[in-house]
This record gives sequence, C-alpha cells and structure tokens, in this order.
Amino acid sequence: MSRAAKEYKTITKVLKEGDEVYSQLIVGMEPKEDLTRWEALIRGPSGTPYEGCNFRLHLSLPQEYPMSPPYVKFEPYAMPHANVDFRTGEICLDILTKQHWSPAWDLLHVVQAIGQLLDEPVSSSPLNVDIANILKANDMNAYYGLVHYYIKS
Amino acid sequence: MHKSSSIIKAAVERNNPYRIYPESSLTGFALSTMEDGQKPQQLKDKSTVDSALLLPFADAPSIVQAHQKDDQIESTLSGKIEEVVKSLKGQLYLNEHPKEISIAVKLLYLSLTTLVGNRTLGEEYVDLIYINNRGNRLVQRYKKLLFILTYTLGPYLGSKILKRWSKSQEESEDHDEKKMSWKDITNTLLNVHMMIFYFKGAYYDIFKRVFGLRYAIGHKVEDEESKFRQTSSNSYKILGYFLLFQSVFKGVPAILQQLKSLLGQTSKSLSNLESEKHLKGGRDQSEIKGVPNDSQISHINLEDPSQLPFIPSASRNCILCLNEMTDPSCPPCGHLFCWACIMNWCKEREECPLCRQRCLRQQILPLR
Ligand SMILES: [Zn+2]
Ligand SMILES: [Zn+2]
Repeated sequence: MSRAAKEYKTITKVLKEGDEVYSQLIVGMEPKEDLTRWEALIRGPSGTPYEGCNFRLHLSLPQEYPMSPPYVKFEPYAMPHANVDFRTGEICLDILTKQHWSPAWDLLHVVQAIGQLLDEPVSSSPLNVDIANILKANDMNAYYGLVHYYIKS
Repeated sequence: MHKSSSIIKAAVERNNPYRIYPESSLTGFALSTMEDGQKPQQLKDKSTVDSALLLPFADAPSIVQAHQKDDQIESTLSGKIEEVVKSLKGQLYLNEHPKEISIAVKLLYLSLTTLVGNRTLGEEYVDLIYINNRGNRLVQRYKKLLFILTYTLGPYLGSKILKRWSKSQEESEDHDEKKMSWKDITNTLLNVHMMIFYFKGAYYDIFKRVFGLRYAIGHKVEDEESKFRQTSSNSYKILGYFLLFQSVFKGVPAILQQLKSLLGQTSKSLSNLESEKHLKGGRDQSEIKGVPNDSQISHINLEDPSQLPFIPSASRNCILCLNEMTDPSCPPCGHLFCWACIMNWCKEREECPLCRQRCLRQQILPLR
C-alpha cells in the first residue's frame, strides 16, 4: 500500500477516535479526488487572535512524497499571519523546505507544525511585513486588532 | 523572398567517400567550382533548381554532436524558464506541468532558431545546415514548421490520445496486452529508425525523416577531415549492429504478436496459443542471464514474526513507507528502515530521517 494511502487510513482513524493532540487543532482533513491533493480545516488555537475561527489549508503531495516535502498553503486572502503571504496563502515554515524536510514526518505532523506556527509567529522571516512589524514592537493590542480586521474583511 | 525557397550553390566534393549523389539529381547539373571558405550563394530564381550544386551530407557523429550541444543549451534555457514560471505561478504549477514546460522550451528554442531561418547553436557549433532529402535545396519553411510542431507536440499528444483510447477500450477484454504491444511497436519503430541512422547517418530524429530535413556540412571538407569522419562513422555502424541484434531478439516477437492479435480476431483459438508462445519467447530472451532477478533474492519481510524476532513488534514498521520493514537496514546511527526506503532517501540527502546524523549510502548495513 502506498504511503499516502497508509496516512489516509491513520488520519481517518485519528480524527474519528478524537485523538487528544490532533482533534483540538483539526476540524477535518480529507483527500480531494486522489491522494495527492488534500484539504484540512484547522481551528485557531486558543490564546491567539485566531481563536474562534477556522482556516482552510491546501496540501499537495509531489510525486516523490515522502522524499520531498508536501506543498502546503492557506486559502488565499484568509490568513493574516507574519509568516503567511496574505495574497497567496503561501507559508514560510522551515520543515516544508527541501533542506529541512524529513521523510519521517507525515501530513499530521505538518498540520500540527502549522498550528504551532499560528501560536508562535516568527517575526524574523516575515511574509506579511505589517504584522511582523507590530509583533517586533510587541504591541499586542495592535496585533489582535490588525488580525481581527483582516479576518473580518 | 524567403531563404527557404532560394537555392544553395556550393562546391561538390567529388572525392567525399560517403556522400552518395542520387543519380537523378546529378543529371543535367552544370557543375561549377567555388573558392575555399566561400559561403554558399543564394540564388533568387526558382527555375535554377536543377543547376544548383551540392553540399556534402553530414555524417552521424557530427549530427549527434550538434544534437548534444542543443540538448545542453535547451536544459540551460529550461532552467531559466522554470525560474520565471516559478516566480509567476509558484512551485506547485512547476511540479504539476513538467511535460508542458519542456515542450514550451523546445518550441521556443526551435522557433527562435530553425523557424526564422537561423541555425540552432548546436548546428552552428558543428556547422550544419538543413537541406532536403535529395540534397539540392534548402528546406522550405512550412516543412520546418511542420517538423517543429510534430517534434515538440507529437509524442505528447500521441500519448494522450493513446491513453484516452485505451480508457475507452477498458471494457473490452484483453486491452492490457494490446496496450503493451503498441508500446513495443513504437519502441521497435524507434529502434529501427536509430539503426538506420547509425548505418547511414541521415536523420537523427524520426520526425526529421518524415519531413525530409537532412543535414549538410556547411563548409568544404578536406581529405584529412573526411578520413577522420569516415572512421568515426564506422564506429557508429557498430552501434547499429548492436541495435539490430537487440531488435531482432526483442522487437520481432512483439510485432508478430501484434499482427496475430489483429488478424486473429477471425481465427482466434489457434493464433492465441501461438502468440502466447511468441510472447513468452520474447520475454525469455530479453532477460539478462546470470543476474539474479528480484524473485530469486530472499527478502526479509518483518510481516513474518519469525524473521529477526529480536526486533520488538513496536519497532517493526518503517517510518518511511509505514509498512512492516522489508530488508531492515541501518545507517551508522542505528535507526532501522527498509533497505529500499533509506537508500532512496539518502539519494535525496545523506542523513538519517530520524536523528539527522550523517549517513552515506555505502555505510547502510542490511540486517541478516
Ligand atoms: Zn520502508
Ligand atoms: Zn538515526
């Protein structure tokens, strides 16, 4: 059985049984058409300006997966985050680059890492300069305000 | 007036040993001589076709050399274009359309060179020009256009059509066999084509043969050069013999089988038996003897609990393919993976996927 098919089995099992770690973060996750394209809906982590909202992720597996990392992005114009390009939804996360990827990770790990990124933005490698600047200034009110403004509009 | 409709006038190399002038094209020619190094003149009058003079046809080694140079330049160009596509459309698009992009690169390269009447960099490097199959005229532009279109789009569209066709045939019984033999037939055709190329050195690409785009050497060939070219063409003939043997042993049974399955629809029962024999014969001969094939190697599969029982059940799955390990193998750090999985990953990066310790492929040890 292919690796993607194995992962599909695990993911449905994990989500059905309500695994502690993942069910907090992941609302739903399933393949589209074939096993190379996936969609995941994740919950904004509590204690962040994203709390109370759900965000859609698009995952696409290259032919060489898991030897090459999956390509992951948020829905365009939906994720205001220091490390996410708002216009395209592209994510700057080191484990998703060819240099840092390890085939020992799977799609659940990837989604979890993205959840963690929502919790802890890295202002040193910004794709959204406005938000990164506010974070650098450590102005939490402005940070919440800007994120909420983006999400609502 | 286009270059393509004008006529080459050049010196005839009468002592050129491997240039064969078709009898018909020589009759009635008014031969004139030309100074060394003089460029071929281009006459504007179409009616002087018959009085045109001939350039020596190019030999196999120089054609191959030109093609290799062109391949090299195409790959540089494609690297640049991929960068542009990546910045415009993103990596995903690049991953999803590798074929389309390589076709676009070929189209671009040939349109900027061959189509507008220039030579490709490879042709310039070896000094080749296109002439028609009789060797007395330049190639018309419409033929170049047709060649470029079929050369770039032909195989791509062909495989798409074949795929669709075989999908619609899915319900009919023995489509698998048929699809296989269609592939065999195209392969055999290509082999025959390459064979003829190695023997005669005329058309390197099959579509150039179809449209009669032949190469000529763009300068006068001296005795010494022609001797050198002769010996190197001879070594290409050896390649031709190899291909000939290979095709005879491999391709012929496949063609017979295909013919039988086409004819056999009326008299099925008899031909089925025979074609099966042929198919089997073809397979046996194509196998290399002396090298153990996959089924002869004894694999260790951890699905079987009696294999390597000291590995605890929690550690019997490979983190890379997520299955029970086949031929468990370990890098210097001691983590276990399938042999195929870890070898495959270390091609990508020479480190353990779990602990990132350095791991060269020659350091990986299979457990026995
Ligand atoms: Zn494995
Ligand atoms: Zn290790």
